[in-house]
Amino acid sequence: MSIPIDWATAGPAVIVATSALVALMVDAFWPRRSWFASSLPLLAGLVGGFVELGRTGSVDDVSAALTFVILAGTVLVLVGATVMSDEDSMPPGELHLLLGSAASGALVMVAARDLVTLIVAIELLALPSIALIGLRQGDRRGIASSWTFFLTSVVSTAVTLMGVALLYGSTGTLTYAGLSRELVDPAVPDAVVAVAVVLTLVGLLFKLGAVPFHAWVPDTYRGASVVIAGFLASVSKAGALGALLVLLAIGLSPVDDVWVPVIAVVATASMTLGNLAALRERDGVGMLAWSSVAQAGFLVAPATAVLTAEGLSAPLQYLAVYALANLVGFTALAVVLRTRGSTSYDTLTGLARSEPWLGVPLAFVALTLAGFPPAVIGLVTKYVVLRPVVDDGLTWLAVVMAVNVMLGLAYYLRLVVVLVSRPADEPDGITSRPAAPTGLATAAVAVGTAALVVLSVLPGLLIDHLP
Amino acid sequence: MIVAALLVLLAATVALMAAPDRFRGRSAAGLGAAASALTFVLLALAWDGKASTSGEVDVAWIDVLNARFHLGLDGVSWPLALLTAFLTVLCCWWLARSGAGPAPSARFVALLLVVEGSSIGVFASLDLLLFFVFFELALIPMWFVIAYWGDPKDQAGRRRAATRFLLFTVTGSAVLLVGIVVVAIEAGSLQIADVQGTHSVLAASLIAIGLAVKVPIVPLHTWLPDAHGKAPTVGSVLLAGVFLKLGTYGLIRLDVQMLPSATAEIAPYLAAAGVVGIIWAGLVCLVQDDLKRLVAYSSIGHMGFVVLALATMTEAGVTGAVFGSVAHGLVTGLLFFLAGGLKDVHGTASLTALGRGLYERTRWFAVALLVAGLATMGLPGLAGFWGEYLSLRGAYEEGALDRSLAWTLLGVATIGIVLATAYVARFVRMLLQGEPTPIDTDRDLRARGVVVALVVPILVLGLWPTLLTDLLGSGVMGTSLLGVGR
Amino acid sequence: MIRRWPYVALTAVVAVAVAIWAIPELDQRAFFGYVPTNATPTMLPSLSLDTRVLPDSAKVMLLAAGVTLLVQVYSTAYMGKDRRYRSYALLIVLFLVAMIAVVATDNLFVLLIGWEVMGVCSYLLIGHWWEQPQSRAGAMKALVVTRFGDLGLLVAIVVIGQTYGTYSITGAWVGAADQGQQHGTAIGLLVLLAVVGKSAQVPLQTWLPDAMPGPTPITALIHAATMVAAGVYVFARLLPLYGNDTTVMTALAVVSGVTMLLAALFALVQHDLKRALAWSTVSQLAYMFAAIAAGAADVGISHLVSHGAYKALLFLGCGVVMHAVGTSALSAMGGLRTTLPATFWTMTIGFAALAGIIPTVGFFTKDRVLESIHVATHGETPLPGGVAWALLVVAYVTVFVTAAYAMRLWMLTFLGLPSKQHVEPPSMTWPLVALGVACLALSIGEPLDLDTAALSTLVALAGIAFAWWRQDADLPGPVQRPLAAELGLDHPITRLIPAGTIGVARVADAADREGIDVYPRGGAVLAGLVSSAVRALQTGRVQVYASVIAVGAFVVVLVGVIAR
Repeated sequence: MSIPIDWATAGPAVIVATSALVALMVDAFWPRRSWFASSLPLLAGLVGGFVELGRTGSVDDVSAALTFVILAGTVLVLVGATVMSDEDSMPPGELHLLLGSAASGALVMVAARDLVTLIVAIELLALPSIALIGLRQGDRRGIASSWTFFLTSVVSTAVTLMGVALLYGSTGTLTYAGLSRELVDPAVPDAVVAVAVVLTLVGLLFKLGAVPFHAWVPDTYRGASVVIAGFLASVSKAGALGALLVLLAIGLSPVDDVWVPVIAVVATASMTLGNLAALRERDGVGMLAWSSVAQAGFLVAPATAVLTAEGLSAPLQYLAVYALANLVGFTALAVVLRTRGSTSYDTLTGLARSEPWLGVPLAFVALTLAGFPPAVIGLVTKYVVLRPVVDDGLTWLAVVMAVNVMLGLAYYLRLVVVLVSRPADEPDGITSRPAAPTGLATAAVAVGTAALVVLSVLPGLLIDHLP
Repeated sequence: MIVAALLVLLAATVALMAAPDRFRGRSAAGLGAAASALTFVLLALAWDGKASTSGEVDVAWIDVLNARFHLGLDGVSWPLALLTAFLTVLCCWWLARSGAGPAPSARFVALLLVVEGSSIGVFASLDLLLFFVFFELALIPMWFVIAYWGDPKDQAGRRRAATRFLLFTVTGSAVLLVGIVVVAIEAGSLQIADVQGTHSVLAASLIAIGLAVKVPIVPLHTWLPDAHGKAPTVGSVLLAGVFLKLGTYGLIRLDVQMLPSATAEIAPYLAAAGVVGIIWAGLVCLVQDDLKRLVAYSSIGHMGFVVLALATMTEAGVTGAVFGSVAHGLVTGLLFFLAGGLKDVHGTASLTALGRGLYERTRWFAVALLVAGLATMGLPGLAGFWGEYLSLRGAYEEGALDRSLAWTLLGVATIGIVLATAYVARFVRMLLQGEPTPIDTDRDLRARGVVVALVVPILVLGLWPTLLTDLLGSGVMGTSLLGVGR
Repeated sequence: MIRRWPYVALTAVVAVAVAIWAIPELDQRAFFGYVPTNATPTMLPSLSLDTRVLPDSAKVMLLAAGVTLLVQVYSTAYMGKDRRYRSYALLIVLFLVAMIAVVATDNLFVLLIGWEVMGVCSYLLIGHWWEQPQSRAGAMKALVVTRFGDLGLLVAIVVIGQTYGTYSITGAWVGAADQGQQHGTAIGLLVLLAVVGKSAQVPLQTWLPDAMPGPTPITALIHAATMVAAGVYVFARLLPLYGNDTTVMTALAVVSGVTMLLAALFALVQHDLKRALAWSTVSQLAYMFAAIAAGAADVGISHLVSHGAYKALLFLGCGVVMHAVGTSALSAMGGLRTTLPATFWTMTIGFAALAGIIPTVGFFTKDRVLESIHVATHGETPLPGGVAWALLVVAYVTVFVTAAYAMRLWMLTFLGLPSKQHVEPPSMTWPLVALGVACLALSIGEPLDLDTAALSTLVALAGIAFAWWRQDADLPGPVQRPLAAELGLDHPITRLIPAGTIGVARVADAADREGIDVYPRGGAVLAGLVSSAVRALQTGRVQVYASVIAVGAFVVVLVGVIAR
């Protein structure tokens, strides 16, 4: 069996992975432990990834866009992670190695055109992620979360492997192109294929954090360091979504009658249950965790129409905005956690008044995720994901999405209100704030928010340029 | 001109938001009034006849979606846009002069300006996505207006009311968005002019249901009395005078004019719902104790007439819907200024708690309430009448309805006029008349200019309806209004 | 001290203007003739200041202006010490303007505006003494009941506008003349509803007696001489649109016949002078309608003018009496002949006119009504002959009853022993004198049909004799009691309908608060439950999560397989 690998396509992934190794080396052999010394190689690798992407492009436009999102997201995570640069318990070399590895896993996922590469990529993303979650030394909660993620991940990967095996058994091929050829064949047993297809999707839906494969999300996001949670919510999701879209659009296109209802049901459940659970959340990170479950529903809903041109591009556009907003949000919360010791709503009260550089971006992020003006870009992307769903005739799903916009607003607005309301009593934490290296992260927040604002005025800058 | 008007509001909003300490109290209200007045003038100057789209702006926005930054005013939207600016000027004036209720803080005024600007944007939008963006823009500011500056005695209640308002209207607008998506896909465009004539009952229904929350049409109205009961005075004025108009305007523009053939199929349901609203609201008004809730319910009744009017899809009906919307903005605006003013002064709007004999105790409040009451019951010669009249006329012509239904609705709707008379007479009897029972919070109306400024147009439109109806004329069914300029 | 003369002067100016305008029009020949104009059809409403004053309009305008001026003068004394004199006097002027608008306009909307503004003025003036509960109640009742009737006019205008494509009265006349009367039944019945409300005819009659707590000059002006009579005028004005319709005319005849007799009987048993006069007004208005039903609108208008004069006189006189004795109860009166001489003599003329005694104007105009009904029995009008005959009989019976109650009221007020001295302010008496003179002067030149005159005079004398025989005794109990209770006709309007409406309204309000909200509240509760359930799964126990994933995978597979 030959597994063709297009090295040109895998270029960015290889560059990033290599630079991650260099980062580890630097950390190991540098005389003094230095955060920046080890982060620079990875940053260089990511930049190199951009260059490589620009030079050779990717398999297709979709993968290229996803690659871009993943690289940009990782850069933001890298910058955001500097809030932890003075923490002794956080080893910089390992962090950067794992981050780079996971990113390259995500990159491979979106470039994968056969199931074996996909499985390998999933693991390449999952294993570093597990380590990242539990990386902080002596943090019992992080380790517990890591354990949770590990076990659930194993279960889901096992299920996926079963699906892949069944697919291989019934079609005799593992490439997407081969699958799309073979699945048309009426000799292939229907029921087996149906089971196989659905099982194969489970692993990707798990990575997306879609209901009912979401159980790990709230625990893990809260257990991991906030920046890493941001990584899971954006880069990791981008990889999973990209893989899902490509798999559905190319490999499984002949059997859309199997997966369209599955995706629709999963999207409905994710949006609704995620939003409902988030209604009771009183913590910033927890809210973003549940919101990411709900957003997973919005991300996969247009995938029901992935066989149309819009069905493929709509989730991308949504993803780009979602990932950016989420990263800005998580980074801001990471800064808050460092300076105030908590991300609960009590702590966040009045943040937009006392620290507008953090509070206002957080509010804008909440509005973007809710899809409400003045964050017009969030609204436009909501419109974008509704289009293919309606076009595909799933009006009921569109109405479910619409109702979920309302549910979402309920808790996003609560965060906004918390941020802008007057604190019950002036927090004295401002004076006794521990000195933390938050400058770079805050700058990243500012840049990300500025990007969101610009996009809100001219959504065309993004929408027109994604495939 | 329209863009200039919006930019004026944006600039004032930014100034107020950025430097809240530099604009305290009256200077904030003054800046708001000045900006709104300038907006009013700019919008008024933008008009260049009903034969063309006034002040049209059409530039690329999002190419892929064929969404354009496309603004323009016509005979339907221009009066509503002017009404919006006018009411906001009065709201700022009221804030500066009334001397009761929440102090006019810079942020509060800024939120009012956002509400104003977004409403004008809705009226001026000729692109569906842009329409929707503006439609949503005002919701969160309105939430803050109610939740932060509402009834000072009931913090939890005002917040609950604000959230109810928001969740109801957001659900509605989400359904509206689905409707817009359906239209955009069916017609392949987001430009209202291009889309016009698409036959999609699904889209028409979704749009109608979505907007029905906003209008509101019974039984989707329960957010309204709560919101009005708790909102600050100027919040109520804008909510009733401007926000509800977004719903009726949307029904006219997006359903009646844009999707006429499909709307004709759902028109009977709309009309019937409108008439049910008239009667329902009239009945509930008869036993309301809280004056602000009473006025809120009376709004629902008036909106019922507007819905009936536009659902007939006749020239008279649609003209009546526009007229009814404008008149309702003025009349109910006045009523809310007064009811809210009473609540600001006395801390309550309960008829029993306010006591009797207002004619004696606070003469300005009493006489103004009487005039507003007469207008709200549709007294001929005041603005409120013509909307109702044209609504009945439209129903008599049948239009999109069949004769038996239309005439039944006409008959039932007239009962609503009697109910309106009865509830006005009731609150006059309970509040204005009677052996005076002075209470120590008695203080007569300040900001009398606001009242006069509203009574004058109510009278002028009442005696000179052609001022408004001439803007509409035979093109009101959308044939000549929307196609121009593209 | 409130200066009162400016209001009198203002009224005088209006009255003089009306006189200058209207008097030349009195000579026009045609009654509501068709004057073709180029009425351009308008679909949308438009107000215009076009007027069309015909001789009968001119008469009604002059009546309104004259009575208003007299009432304004009278009020300087009667209401002179009232704290709210200014709003009172201004409302009277507004009322006059509205009345002129109704009478003179050629535009249906101006007519409607005037019509409703009159109603509102009436409402506000009835409630002028709003500290009194019965004023408030009477005002509200008047407003709601007449507004209910007004819906008829509103819808009628809708129908006229749609049918003839114009809101010009002349235009509609022309249309009706050219194309024949279209939708005549509908328009006619709708207008009938409006005038039944405004003119207090059965079954909407009960608001007028309850309007009596208002100031008496207002009663004289609005609730006797002008506004209530405007119903008659408007019905006549629009007659070309439905005058040939048998249904409408029959309905009008039935309404007027029932009303004239019932109201006269109610007046006969009253113990309150003012309320008796109110019922008398209702009864006399029915005469006017009877004339229109008989196809003689001009006769109806003549009676309108004559009734306006003598009823204004009677009410103003009643005001003097009330001013003197402090109440309108008949039991408190008696013997005022000597103490209030001017009032006595002028009111005697008024009562004579009411009873139809020659040579007062009431005699002539009432006879012409009777005569026109008699003519209608020949079957040459749209009114069926049988109905006309019945109406004629009722009208003669009513003449008897009218004469009887006029005599009774006169006796109870003025005859008997004088009690104590009273004063008659001159500004109150000279309007009485003016009206008394008018009641006699207006008879000049009135035609006389000897047969009718003889018969009606006989019947009236019989009525007077009956009253003289009964003196101040009540009618026999079985007749007196139900009549004094006004046959309970007020019950539905004052009790049943309001109580029923309020009951329904309470149910609606409760449903609105608790019922309709089921879906959002239920949704919120459901959302809360689901939220708890979803969050309850987050126990932190990995086994649970793994199980959820396994079960979820199974469910998802099931969905896929089933869907396939």
